[in-house]
Amino acid sequence: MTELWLPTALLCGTVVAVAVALGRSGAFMTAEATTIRRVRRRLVSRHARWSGAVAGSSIGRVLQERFAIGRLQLAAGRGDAQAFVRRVATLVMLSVFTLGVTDAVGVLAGAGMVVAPAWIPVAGILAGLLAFAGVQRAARQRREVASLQVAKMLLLFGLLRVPPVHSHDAVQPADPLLALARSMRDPTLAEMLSSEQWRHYAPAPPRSRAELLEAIGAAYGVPILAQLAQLVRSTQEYGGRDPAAEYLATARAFTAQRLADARVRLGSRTITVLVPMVGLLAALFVVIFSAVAYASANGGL
Amino acid sequence: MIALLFLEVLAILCLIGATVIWGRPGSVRSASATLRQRVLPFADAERDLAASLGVPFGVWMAARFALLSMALLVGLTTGILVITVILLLFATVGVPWLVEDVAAARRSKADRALVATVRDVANGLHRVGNLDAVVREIAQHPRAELHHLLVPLQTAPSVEAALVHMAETSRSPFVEDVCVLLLTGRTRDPRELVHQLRDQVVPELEEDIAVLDATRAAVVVQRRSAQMIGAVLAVLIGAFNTVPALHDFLISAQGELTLVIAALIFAGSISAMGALLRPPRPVRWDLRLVRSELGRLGRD
Repeated sequence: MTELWLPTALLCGTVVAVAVALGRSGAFMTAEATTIRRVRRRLVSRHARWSGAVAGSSIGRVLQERFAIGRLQLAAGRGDAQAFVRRVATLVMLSVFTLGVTDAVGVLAGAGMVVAPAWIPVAGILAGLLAFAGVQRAARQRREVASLQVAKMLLLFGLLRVPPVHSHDAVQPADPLLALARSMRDPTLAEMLSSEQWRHYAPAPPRSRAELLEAIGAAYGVPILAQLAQLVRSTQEYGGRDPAAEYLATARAFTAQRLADARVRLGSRTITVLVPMVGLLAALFVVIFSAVAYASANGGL
Repeated sequence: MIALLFLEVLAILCLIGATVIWGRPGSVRSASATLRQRVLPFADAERDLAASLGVPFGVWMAARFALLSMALLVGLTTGILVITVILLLFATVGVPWLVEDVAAARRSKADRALVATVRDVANGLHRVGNLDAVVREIAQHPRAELHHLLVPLQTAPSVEAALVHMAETSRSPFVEDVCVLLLTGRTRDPRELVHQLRDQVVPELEEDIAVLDATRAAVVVQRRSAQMIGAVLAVLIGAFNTVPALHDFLISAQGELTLVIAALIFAGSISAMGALLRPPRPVRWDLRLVRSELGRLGRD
């Protein structure tokens, strides 16, 4: 009886997939409804459709607020939230399918099921969690790289006495911020600045250079861009102290902050790092105890 | 009956999968491009390590191949397959882990010497008023740690080209930063630059080194402990191999499985330590692009 679940599940899956494909192609609708739907799809962008779907669903809203998938995807350079859903769905289906095939092969070979059916959904959930952890990690790394890249430029803005951006509308290719970002080997910051995707997360179009930098910083989650915006506001827009001195002082403050963060991080990991250290000792004891056990079982040394 | 149903459903799903993959544009990437993309970072890492150790890349690669051959020879002498595989892995991925501390210490010394040189540049600029002349003059009498690094400044026809060459051959993010700052400083008023270098740039560079050193100190302590335990493990296995009863254990299936498990635990623990203490990836400049962009920004 337990052998029946897999073919049944696969058959149901196939039927659902075919039904979805037919439904999307308009097989279950009247010709008018299909046309209206097609026109609506053309007129409304995919991003807006997705945002509308999320906004209309309470679960979608909670998930979006809790995990900010869209911003994470944006910072990770992996497209919109829909791309994440597609990726998770693919990974989940792939893991379920792989385990299903493994079981199928086991049953066909007469060896019974290799993986208990209860573990297959667990594997699917794990695949989804791993995809989420992956996007979080990628976003964190790219934010870190972008912050360091902006910090490196602060000294140069100070020495060159140039503002990071010239216009409040968008970051132009000739702007020092983007020009210097393009001169770096890692394209992270250049990609962030030259992409227009941050506009989807900006509440209103920026009215000044400082607001432009703040909007980009908020969309990608790079706080140093907000600091840079403050600098631009205080030096170029309000007309305060010497801009060069301000940029250089901020660069130093950022490095001092990095030093403090590094010390705190390393201090907090002094104990955590003992866990892998115990692992090293475990490797030693595994060899010793196994050898002694083997020798004892085979007549001793 | 069930088997037939299995096969039918699997065949349908495989067909759907194949159709989806076939229909995706650009899903099949050029194999050589992918290979190049994967291999290049490793080659770059080897070049960086060789430069940090102050060894020419050719000599470094020859040493790596010699170590690999030696590991193979020692492994074959023991007659234990798992030990041979572990030694080969150690001779390939383990070597950078072993010499990284030496390389980092050398880099740190060179970085400190470079900051002292930038301070000399600021003092010289205060006296002479021409950055190119000061840089050339200081390069004639370099500190011992910077002897090779400053050679382009002694020989290249222009200081700009020399700084680009220097940054490229150094393969060090810190040297690149200093070269970018000097390239930028060439377009500035010397008197203003003196103040900026003394008051802001040199302290900033010193704090940068302090960040690197703080991380390095923590990593070195853990790595030394791991190396000691690894050495004890190696000596222990070597000693086991000389005792007939324990040699039998090592060549048995149970012994080989034990060695595999021990190796996996060891490698896993080291990678976990690395992940916990890994510093952020340094940000690096492409000096040629910087030079052209600075030329354009300077005109704005």
